[in-house]
Amino acid sequence: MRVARFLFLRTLGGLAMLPPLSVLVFAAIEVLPGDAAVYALAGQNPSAELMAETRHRLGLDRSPPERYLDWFSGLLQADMGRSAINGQSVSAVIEGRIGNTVILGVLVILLMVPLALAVGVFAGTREGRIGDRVFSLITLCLVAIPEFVLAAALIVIFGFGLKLLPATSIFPVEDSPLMHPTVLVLPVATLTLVAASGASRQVRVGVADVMRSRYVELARLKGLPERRVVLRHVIPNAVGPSLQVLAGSVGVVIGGSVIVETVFSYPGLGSALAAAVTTRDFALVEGIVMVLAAALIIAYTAADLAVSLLTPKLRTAL
Amino acid sequence: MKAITEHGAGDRPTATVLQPGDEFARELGGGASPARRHFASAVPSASGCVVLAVVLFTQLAPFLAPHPVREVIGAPYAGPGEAGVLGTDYLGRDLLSRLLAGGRSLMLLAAACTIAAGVLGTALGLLLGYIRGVAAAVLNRVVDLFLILPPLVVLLVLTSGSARGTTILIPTIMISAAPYIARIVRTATLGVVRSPFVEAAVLRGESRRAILLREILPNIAGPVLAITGLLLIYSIFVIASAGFLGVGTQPPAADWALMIKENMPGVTLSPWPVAFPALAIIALAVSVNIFSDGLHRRIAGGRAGRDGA
Repeated sequence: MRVARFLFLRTLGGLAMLPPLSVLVFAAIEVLPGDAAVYALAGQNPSAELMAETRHRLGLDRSPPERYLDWFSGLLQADMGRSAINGQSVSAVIEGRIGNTVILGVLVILLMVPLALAVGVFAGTREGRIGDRVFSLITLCLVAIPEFVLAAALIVIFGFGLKLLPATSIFPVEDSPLMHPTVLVLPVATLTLVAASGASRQVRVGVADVMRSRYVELARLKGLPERRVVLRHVIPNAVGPSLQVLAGSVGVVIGGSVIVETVFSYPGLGSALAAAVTTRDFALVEGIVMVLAAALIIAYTAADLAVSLLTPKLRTAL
Repeated sequence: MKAITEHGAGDRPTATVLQPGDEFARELGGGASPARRHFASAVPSASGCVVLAVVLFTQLAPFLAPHPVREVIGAPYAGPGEAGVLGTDYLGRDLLSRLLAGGRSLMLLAAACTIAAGVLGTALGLLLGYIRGVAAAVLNRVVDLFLILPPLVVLLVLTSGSARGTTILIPTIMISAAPYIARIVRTATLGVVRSPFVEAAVLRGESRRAILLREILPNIAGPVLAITGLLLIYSIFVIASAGFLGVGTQPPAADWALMIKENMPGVTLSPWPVAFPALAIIALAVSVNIFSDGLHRRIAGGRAGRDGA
């Protein structure tokens, strides 16, 4: 019962972040210079009447709080309005692309989690030794490289040099990317390398910490083989904090998907967001940002719940 | 984002925040042999030299470059040696000249962003660690709110209007990085705020401002200095990514990120216009990171040594 209540409050606490966040996103776009009506009529040299009519059609003649409430109540019903640029329904655009981003993200996370754990445990249990130094240097280099630069390097090597993989991830709209596995390799590899190297460094710190604990010392003094010490005493105690770290890297994956999808012209939410910014499609920008924020909050909350359930001492009274 | 989170600093709203120096203090704790310690200090020193070399070359670009950055010197996508030393880009401009000039704005802007975001984040963190009550709770929630969105998403929201180009990057980096810095500084502040010397200052009736700046700040200088390196990496990451997404440096300027973006469509014709700027960014980012990591260990190691004595 207490656990159920805890789960409920934690989930509620996470979702409570969404409304203030929506105010921030709306206000930022509202306050910064740039008139949606001007962009909607770009290149048409509009008359004053047409301008006024467009402003009325887009609802720009109403006050910002009024428009915000309208937009937010629409959000709650999964209706994010229409693009002022091409009249498309924002929800429809998101619906058409969200699946591709989910496929990309899920593949990255499925690869990243075991990779980060394996490297982190390997390096953490060999702290200061040569294996640790080599992996620490590699991950230190990888975390510094921006995703698009890593993607460019992989494209030059595998797309041009070895001619093994396509340099862009373009495929027919009606297809699923899973029907064209080669287009997924480089985007997935880029994001996995970036996310896994950052996460593995934190897993390593956690593991190295546990390795120095008294109970690990005791286990060794008991004469347990090192392998058993690591498997039974180190990993179970390092896994809780590691889960939080891995959930944090969902943020890296989502932020990185904007870049990686753009580099490879992969038709997902991230490339749609970057394109919407280029065409100044405010409704689409707001819609996609809110979807990404919701995904992040769900991931963080889920990780918090998992960590709390695995390590009861972290359960805080809400 | 990744540059800052990788050291275990507050990567997200509810995460347990590690002291930034901890990882390094622990890494030094292992019984490293003199040879390994030598190796460990040689790599950061070498990367420091790389950083210096990159800074020197890019700042001297106007004198070293064989051609003006906008001059067309040959056919587009000419290979190295065919036209110019490194070949030409998609418009037939000299790649070497553009490469030399292309890091200048990136580095100057990254330095400006580091200072701006560092000062804001440190001030905010000091305040969050010192004040109590409702104001602290509200400020903490606001900081949490800003930590949800990845920096590139913040960047895209702020640049979706007409505000484009390099000037918007400073506020973007301040808004997206200051909360992370604030969390690290807050943790460090909480660590010293109960110290006798702070209590003595409170009893002497010193102002809050004097206590924060003269008593607390000097005592958390280590973590503050350490995050400067992380901020620099982070700034390079955001500025370069902005250039690539088309919302940062605008053409026809010579800029490494922009060069990668512009020449990407022709990467199958000639990989060089993409490969050279990519290598330049990798060299700069990696060497800055290794150097700041080494500096970080040095500071943490010095502290650990003193504490142990």
